[in-house]
Amino acid sequence: MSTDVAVKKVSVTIDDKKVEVTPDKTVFQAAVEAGIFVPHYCYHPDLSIAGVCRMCLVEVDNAPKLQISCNTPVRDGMVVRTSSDKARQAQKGSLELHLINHPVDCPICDKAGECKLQDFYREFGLYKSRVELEDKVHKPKAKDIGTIVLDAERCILCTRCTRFTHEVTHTDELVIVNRGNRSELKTYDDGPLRNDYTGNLADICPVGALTARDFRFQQRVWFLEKKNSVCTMCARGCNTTVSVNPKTKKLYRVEPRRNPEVNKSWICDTGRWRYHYVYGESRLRTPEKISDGRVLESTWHQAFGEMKRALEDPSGIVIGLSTQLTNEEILELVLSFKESGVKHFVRIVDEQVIEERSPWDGVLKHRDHTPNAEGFARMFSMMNTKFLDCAGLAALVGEGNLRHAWFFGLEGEDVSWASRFVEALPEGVSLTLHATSRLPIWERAQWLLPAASAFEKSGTMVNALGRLQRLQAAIPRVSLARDGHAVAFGVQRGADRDAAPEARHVDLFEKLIAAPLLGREQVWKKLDPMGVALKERS
Amino acid sequence: MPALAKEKQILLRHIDTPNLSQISVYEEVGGYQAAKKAYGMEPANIIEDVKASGLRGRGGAGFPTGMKWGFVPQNTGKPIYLLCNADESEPGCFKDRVIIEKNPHAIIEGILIAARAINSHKSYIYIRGEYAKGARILQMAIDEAYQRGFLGKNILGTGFDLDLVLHRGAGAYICGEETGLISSLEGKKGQPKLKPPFPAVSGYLGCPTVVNNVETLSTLPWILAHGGKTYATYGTEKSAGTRLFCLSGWVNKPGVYELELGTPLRVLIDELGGGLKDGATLKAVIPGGSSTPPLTPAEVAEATLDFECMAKYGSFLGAGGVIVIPEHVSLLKILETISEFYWDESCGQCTPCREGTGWLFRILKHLHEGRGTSTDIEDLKKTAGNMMGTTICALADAAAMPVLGFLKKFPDEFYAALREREGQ
Amino acid sequence: MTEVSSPVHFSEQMLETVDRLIAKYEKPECALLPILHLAQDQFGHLSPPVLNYVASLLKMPPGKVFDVVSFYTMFKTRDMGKWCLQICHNVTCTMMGAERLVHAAVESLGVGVNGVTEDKQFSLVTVECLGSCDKAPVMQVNNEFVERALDAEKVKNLIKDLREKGQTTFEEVTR
Repeated sequence: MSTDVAVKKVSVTIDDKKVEVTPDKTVFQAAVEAGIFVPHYCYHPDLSIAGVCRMCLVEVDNAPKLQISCNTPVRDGMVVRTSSDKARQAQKGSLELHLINHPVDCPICDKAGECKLQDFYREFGLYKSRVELEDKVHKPKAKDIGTIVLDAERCILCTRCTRFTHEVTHTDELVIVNRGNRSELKTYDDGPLRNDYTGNLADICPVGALTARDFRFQQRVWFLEKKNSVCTMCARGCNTTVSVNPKTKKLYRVEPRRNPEVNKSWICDTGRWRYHYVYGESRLRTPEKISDGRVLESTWHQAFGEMKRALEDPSGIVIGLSTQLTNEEILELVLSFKESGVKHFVRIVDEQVIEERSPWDGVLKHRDHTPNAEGFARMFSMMNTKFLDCAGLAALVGEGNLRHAWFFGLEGEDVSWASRFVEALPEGVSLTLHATSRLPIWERAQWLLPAASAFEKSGTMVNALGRLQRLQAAIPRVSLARDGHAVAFGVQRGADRDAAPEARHVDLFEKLIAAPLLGREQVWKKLDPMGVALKERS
Repeated sequence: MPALAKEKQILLRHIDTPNLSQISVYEEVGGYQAAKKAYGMEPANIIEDVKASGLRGRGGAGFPTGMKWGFVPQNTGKPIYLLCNADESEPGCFKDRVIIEKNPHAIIEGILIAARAINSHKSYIYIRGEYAKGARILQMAIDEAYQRGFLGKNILGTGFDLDLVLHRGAGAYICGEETGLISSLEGKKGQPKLKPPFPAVSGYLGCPTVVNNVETLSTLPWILAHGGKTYATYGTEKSAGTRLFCLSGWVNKPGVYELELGTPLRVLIDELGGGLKDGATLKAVIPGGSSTPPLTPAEVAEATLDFECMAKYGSFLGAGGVIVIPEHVSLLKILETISEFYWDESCGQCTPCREGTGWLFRILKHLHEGRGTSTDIEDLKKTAGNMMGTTICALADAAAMPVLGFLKKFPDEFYAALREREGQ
Repeated sequence: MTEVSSPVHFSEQMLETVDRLIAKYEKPECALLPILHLAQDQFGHLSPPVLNYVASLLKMPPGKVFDVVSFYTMFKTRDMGKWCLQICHNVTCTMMGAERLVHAAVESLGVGVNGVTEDKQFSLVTVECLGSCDKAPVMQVNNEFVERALDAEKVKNLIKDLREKGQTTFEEVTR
């Protein structure tokens, strides 16, 4: 921003408020900058301008004809009125026409509470509809189109969704057929949606025409609390909000949070819906010891004790760290085990895709399913440690001295990309896995330690674009799951006595990570909400 | 009578010549001479001449043609397109059809002149899909013009290239709106585009584009041959030249007539049109196609056919569709029909138009069927008011204006419909 | 709903026409309307397999072709029979008696507006202004304007002619 070439700004007066904006802005954007809300349905900051809802009509320089603010460029000295009688009347008129064929079935609509039609309806005080129900144009209701349920009757034809499938996913499966008030939103072949970003359609739909099957009728939205976080399903690090019911502390949905530098307003369906593993059947809830193929429920106390004893001969131990761990967890685990004399460290990473910096699908998805390979690489210098790759691990195994392999921070139900590291270990090496979920491959382990999921821990990560971002715990840890900090703390003590200090990650970040990465300190708070772009890695 | 003397002087002067659609006949009556003259002129001088003529677009909006050409930037490095709007679809209008079927070379010659003026090397004629016969005739004319060297490479040895393609629409009134036409030509739904950007800067495929109506283009050969100033001596100060008027409805001799602008409306209806059929009494006249507010008999008696006079009566010349309505016809039925048309043809993108046209039609249908309620007339006014000037293109206005116009000028008939209902 | 149909394709000669059409325009998709006209002439109506085929010819997403087709009234997505009678029901034609033509056609054909006769010979629709108000009330059959002053009797005779002369072209019966 400070690097931007200085552009001469123009001065615009909106509702008697003066605002200076760059000349490439529209009146709508200038109003946003001035903190003035202009009602709208079709405008979306990350889609092309459609200009069809006609809700954002404003008075410009007292011209007789109102202009839509979303498509009117600013001019120096322009005077705009967004809520003059004339503008209000036109906005109200457009709103009323929006409602003419709308079923107004709010009590049974899942969008209620976050529906823009409802919001403006109240704001404009339209309590009596002039339209008799029998006269409305009827269209198909609650049609299944895969992950999304489509109610064409509630659709106000703002075209946000069709612009999305045209401009963002380039799939064009959603179309508006026919014309006039017979216009109908549908998938062109009545089939399911065919893209990996369908959840965004429910987000951008301003009314209840497109709702996500996953969330439908789960919760009334006004019961939920939102927390800012980042998605950890791939190296993109899309910004998210996580919605939690404050009473049950249960996670109900993950939504994109706008960051123009990372994900605009979108996330992929994986990032949105894969969170169910947090409550999944395969989730590890308590430490388990496996011997002779039998699973025995155990305790952290026992696990820490055994690990502490093993550390008496640290030369036979290799520590594996997943690139799904936060920067702080990585740092803490490495420093802690180094202090105990461990010499061998492995970076558990999807080696085939580690150099890929762009999404394979041209939208957001990276082939690297781990969120923090970049952060890990950026911290090499501060840890002053050599990390083996998979071949290095195999070579180490070849030396024959290895007795224990402790792999930390494996997250999710599909970590097949990491299986090579496990396969590199011979029978004689005892494997301890700190993971969120149980998978067939982990039958090979002697200890399974329940890991805190990305929704249950806080810290920082660096995405593939080199952006340092904050992950924030949204829900309490499931059962006995623990993050890397708690594990490092416990192993050092060899017992499960005291809890690791709260907010340990903040301390570690400010003391050890902020300065090397950013060249400055006291930045933890500044990372939210948008993160900070790091300089190119040398 | 001077008005009659000037009838058929410009656009229709050779219209009755047999086989005028053949290039040899067209050339025999002096065709393509004006194009030859234009190709010896500087483009800027052609534009000046057309500006001097006072010619205003004949598609309905009446924008000055020379000025429209002047908006085209010549330095973008992009190709410039000239599109001929032959999507004549306004109810009551059928003048372009006559030119297309009888005098297609006048359109081609007009295109040659306009293309030279704006430096365009690619032109399309967008003809409405229903004009299949017109399309066949135009295609033959285009083929002839290519053979004679008026189209293609190095036209008339000037080094100027121009390709002309005939493009058929497929049934959508809105494609007659210039940006809707452009969308349609791009292979999309014919939905009008947001302005800015304006077509002159960013039109067909994002390139500078001029859209001119069939009649406008067909007038150019005469203007070039006789000079813009001569053309401006016809008509009135703000309405220069002659125009084609499409006379239809309850008259004895419906048809297309060319009249000097400023001619009394009665000349068209009574003298050329032979008066009302069966000696019927006049109830109303729609002066410019279905979107234009009607005139009362008193207004008809006084009205002259020019932009200024129509403005005085709150109406427009539109695309020249003069519809004569006799006493025995229900204005409710007429207005319901008009409303149904705009409901049918609304492209559906802007909410006020999509929903408003449907709502107007439904209220009028109820009224006409005797199912009206006391709030209907207020609702009609309010809904029409909410549609005026609030949408991307003028279709919503076109739907709202006749409603407001009929209610204003013939309120009794609408209130009577309500009273009848209440009296039941 | 599954469409049962033989594989849809143009002949070699038609494909050459398609190539010629595309070459006239700056981009292949600009040729969509003319190619849809061509496909409709060839296949009678534009069924989903035809639309998918056209999309593949122009390398367009099929969705774009489906929504374009639904916008234009001349594109038929169902079988409208051999002769599609279109009667204008706009202002001038209504004033001049279009409803009588519709009644006559309904009576002769035994189907209502938007209906198709069982033998798939005729369909009847009302359409917007055809740009011939001086000849109102007007009617068009398939792509051809019926150039003779119309009343109920003449509509009935025209239908009779079309029915009896069967395979003859429209031009022959309306000359």
